[in-house]
Amino acid sequence: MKIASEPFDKQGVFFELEGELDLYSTSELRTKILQAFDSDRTRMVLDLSKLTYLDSSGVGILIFILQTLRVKKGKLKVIGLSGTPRKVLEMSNIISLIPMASTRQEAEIEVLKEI
Amino acid sequence: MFIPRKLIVDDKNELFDTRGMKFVEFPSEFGKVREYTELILKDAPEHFREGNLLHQQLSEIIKNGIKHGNKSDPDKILKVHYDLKKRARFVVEDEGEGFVELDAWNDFFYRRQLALYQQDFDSFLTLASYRGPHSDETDGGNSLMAALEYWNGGMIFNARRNKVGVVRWYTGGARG
Repeated sequence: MKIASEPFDKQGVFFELEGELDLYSTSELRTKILQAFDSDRTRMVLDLSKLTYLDSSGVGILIFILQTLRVKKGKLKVIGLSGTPRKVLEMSNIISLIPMASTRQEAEIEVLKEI
Repeated sequence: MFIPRKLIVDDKNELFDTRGMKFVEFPSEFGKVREYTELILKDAPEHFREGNLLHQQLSEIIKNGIKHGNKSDPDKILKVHYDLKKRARFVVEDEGEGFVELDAWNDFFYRRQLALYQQDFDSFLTLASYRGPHSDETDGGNSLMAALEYWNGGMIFNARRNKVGVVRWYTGGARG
């Protein structure tokens, strides 16, 4: 899996995941997410449009992000979720917890708004 | 109406009848979970695969057997019976002590389903992942929840809880 990240504004961070988020690649993503939290970047946009595979380890990371951002009073928007990754999130009933946006621009504006 | 799902233990269940099924066994190497999964599925009909959904769901069961059952010990064997003719059917058995937390997991899952039914999203978020005494950070804590949804013909554990039988039926080709 490829992970691209780009900070925006003071507290924002954009991640793009490409390929397969599975039991072998989850720890790399977790490390990068923790680094973002450590730098106080708690306004997060995740682009999953190039994600081709998601398993329960990957779903676990998304839950971890949601739970952590709730404590840190941060915000998340996900864009580009489709195909089997979407199906997997539907089957584990997590989809209702995931805030979506249609474009990166819209997502970045939304996560910077006050809660 | 609130009808909760749960994991079922039934040693005599017909899902454990492996007559006529193909058989393969693997050493419990954690790094090969997806490779083993693909070996089993190499001749699976395309419409059974539903993209990579069948691979993803079978790999969760293989992972549970290798990691939680056999503790990723390559000297321990994972046995897989499979039948991909009319439906996707698997019986996966490890050499471990069994899923001893099954009842605790069912209690947890009941509370999680109730929170969702009651639209109590605060509670639901805290109950989103199951954390057992042996969970680590790469355990998503959600594979069995999706499994109960996916295996629409049943998901049954044996009495020792180290063997699981699952079935997915397909009607009119791939399901949406």
